[in-house]
Amino acid sequence: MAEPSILLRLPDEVTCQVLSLLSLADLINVACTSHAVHDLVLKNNAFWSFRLRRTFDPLLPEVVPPSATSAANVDLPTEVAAQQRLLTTDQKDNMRLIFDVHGGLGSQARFSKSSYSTSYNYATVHTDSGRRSASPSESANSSPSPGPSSSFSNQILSKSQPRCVRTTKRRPRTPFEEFKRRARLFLKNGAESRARYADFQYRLSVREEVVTLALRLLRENSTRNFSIIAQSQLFSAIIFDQLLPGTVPVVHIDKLPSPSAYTLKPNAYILQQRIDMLRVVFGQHLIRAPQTFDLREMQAVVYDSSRFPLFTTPTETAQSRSGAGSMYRAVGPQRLPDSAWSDIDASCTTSVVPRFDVLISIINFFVHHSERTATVREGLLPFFNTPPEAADFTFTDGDTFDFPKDWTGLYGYLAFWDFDVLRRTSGARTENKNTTAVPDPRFKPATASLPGYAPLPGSSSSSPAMPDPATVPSVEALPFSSPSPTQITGYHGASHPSVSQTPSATGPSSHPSYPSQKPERPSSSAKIVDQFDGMQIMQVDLPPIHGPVSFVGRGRDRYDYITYSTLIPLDACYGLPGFARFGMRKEYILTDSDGGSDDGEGVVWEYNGVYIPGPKIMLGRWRDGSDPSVSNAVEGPFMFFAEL
Amino acid sequence: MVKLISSDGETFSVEKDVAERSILIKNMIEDVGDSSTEIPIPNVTANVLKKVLEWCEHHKSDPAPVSEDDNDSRKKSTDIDEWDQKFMQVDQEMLFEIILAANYLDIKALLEVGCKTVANMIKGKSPEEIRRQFNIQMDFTPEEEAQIRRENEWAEDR
Repeated sequence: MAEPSILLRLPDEVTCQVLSLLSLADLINVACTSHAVHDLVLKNNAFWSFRLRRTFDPLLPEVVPPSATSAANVDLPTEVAAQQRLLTTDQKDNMRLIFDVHGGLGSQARFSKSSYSTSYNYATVHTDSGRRSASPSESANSSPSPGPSSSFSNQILSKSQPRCVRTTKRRPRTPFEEFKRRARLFLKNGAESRARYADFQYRLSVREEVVTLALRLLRENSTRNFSIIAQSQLFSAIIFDQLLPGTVPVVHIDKLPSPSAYTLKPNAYILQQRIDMLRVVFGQHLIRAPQTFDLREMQAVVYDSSRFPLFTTPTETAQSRSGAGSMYRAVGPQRLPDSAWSDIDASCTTSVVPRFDVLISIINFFVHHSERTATVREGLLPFFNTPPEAADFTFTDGDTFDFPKDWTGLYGYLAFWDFDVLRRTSGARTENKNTTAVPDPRFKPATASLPGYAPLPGSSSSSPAMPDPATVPSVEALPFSSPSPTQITGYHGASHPSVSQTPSATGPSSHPSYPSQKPERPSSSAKIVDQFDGMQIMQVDLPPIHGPVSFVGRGRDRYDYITYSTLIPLDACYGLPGFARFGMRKEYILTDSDGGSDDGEGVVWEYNGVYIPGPKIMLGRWRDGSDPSVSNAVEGPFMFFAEL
Repeated sequence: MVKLISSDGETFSVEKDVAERSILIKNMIEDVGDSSTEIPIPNVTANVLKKVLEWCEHHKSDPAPVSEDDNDSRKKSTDIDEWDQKFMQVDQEMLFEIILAANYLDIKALLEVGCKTVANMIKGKSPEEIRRQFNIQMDFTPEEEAQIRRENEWAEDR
């Protein structure tokens, strides 16, 4: 009898080495030669595990785990168990779909790479590809993923403990099957598919789908364990960065600190993560709004509220477009029950919706247009130290919300003469200020289609459209409630200084240049230079709140001041709950001990902005509130951060 | 000089640095502490050992193997230098024996050449050509083969 082929007589390790030198097509050809060789090739778990790693690992980003979060992992097993309970079939499928859109890429962050060997022990909550589990209970008993971290859940569960192991009756997926699945989904659907993926518009559409799904996931998990959301966001960010480089127009990775800087500064990882969250939050719009980094144009956007208002009001067109799931709702006055704030009305006379394009411009302004960008970023780092919480997205009726107590921020301002130049050169300021939004062709509504690109089916239903800025009026700034001193119950200063009418001073450190104090320069000023400053914004001490609320805080820059703020929750924007409209009026408390200067007397600054959940930032514009009737009153952008 | 005794009792005297291309032999020499001691190679016959030592003689001046990571791209390639190609122009049974010997003697570079040779014998060939090349008995029915083809269409054009 003839000797078996040498292919069948080679030692296993040598067989693996030979197979590793072959292309997939050659491997399949070999497998087609006989039953024995077929099994030798396609059922060779060791080989396919190796192949899986070799193929997909290089595609994954290098992720350095933040040391700041290591302590949070102590109670992870409990968290994992909770997540397993909380996941429903639909949510799993959402994650699955996000995962599968990119062929599983991103399922294995580098910091859990070691779970290649250990992930076999961990249960996953996923169903097999292409198969929907019949019920959540079935899902709870679904199979462990056999492959090297073959699912996104493994990323979540990669640090779980053995007690999370669940038994299953389903045959585990072999490494070959897992490789095949990923290759099918991502690497290989034929040359035509690859060519299609190379198309920019197609990548945008895929990205939109991923963002849509991520947002739906966020929405559906708004009252659930936040780790799932955070993971999904990070996951999305990973695949965006990895697969679609250059398609995220606003926050360019290459403008952030270099990878080496990340390894040196763990905080930078968190900063990146938080910026990624911003990306996801604004993701739907980012791919729609053409972004420009022209300084002059950006200045016009961030400084000129008459042409680029922060808010619009929904029109009938917008309402009908958004359908039953309207993201607008009336936020009339409400009383807060049984709290120290019950006697403070939050008044708002109209429903509004933030203009994400303007908010994005403000982010861009601070991230990219400051002449001290690096300093700004460094200054932001301390505010990104704590991961977001589930409560970030529960600021809706019926849920309580913990408004951060300490806020710090940055604002940009121009010298008055520069401001004047900007306004005169960037477009005529309308006489009827704050009544009509002038459409800007650079910003397209979220539903606008890109040239030659058809929106993905179903994508519009889950992403309510932003109103077309050209068709909606702007709104007046949020009314600020200014309670009398007796109403300042939220002021928890150790020694509450009384509001004094003593003349005092307002200097550059206390706020942007004040028009009455700056000499006008000729309008021919050639270069407009933004100024930046950072400072404590306010300290507040609020009980858990829900619904509209007004509150009082305090702070100090050059002098002590009181802030009168209003926070009004908005309906879900892009399906994401937790946004709120923020208004604040800042008044100085001047005493004799402040030096008797008069430059602070009567100075009032008003802030009008949007609270953005997740990143816990507020974006908007400040303005001189001393005399709102003054035309050409100075204004500028601000970006406040919750100090966590 | 080092004396190696093949499984069929033939003795080969080779320079130490030639013999030490084999990590197995190198370790044995270190363990024994005396390079003049005869070292048995029980799993390798004389004709195969002769061939292996020929390769070691030719490559005795090669640099030491680089680390696994650095070596990864080289491992993926199936390029073989000209001398090694001629060296591997042997019948399949001898090729098989050389691979086994290289694996046993822990001569990574030779094993790599052997594996690349086998891979090159497969690359770009149809199943039928591979069968002929390796004397594999076809035991698939046409339906089975078609099914395998269908199941693995994903891998075509890769």
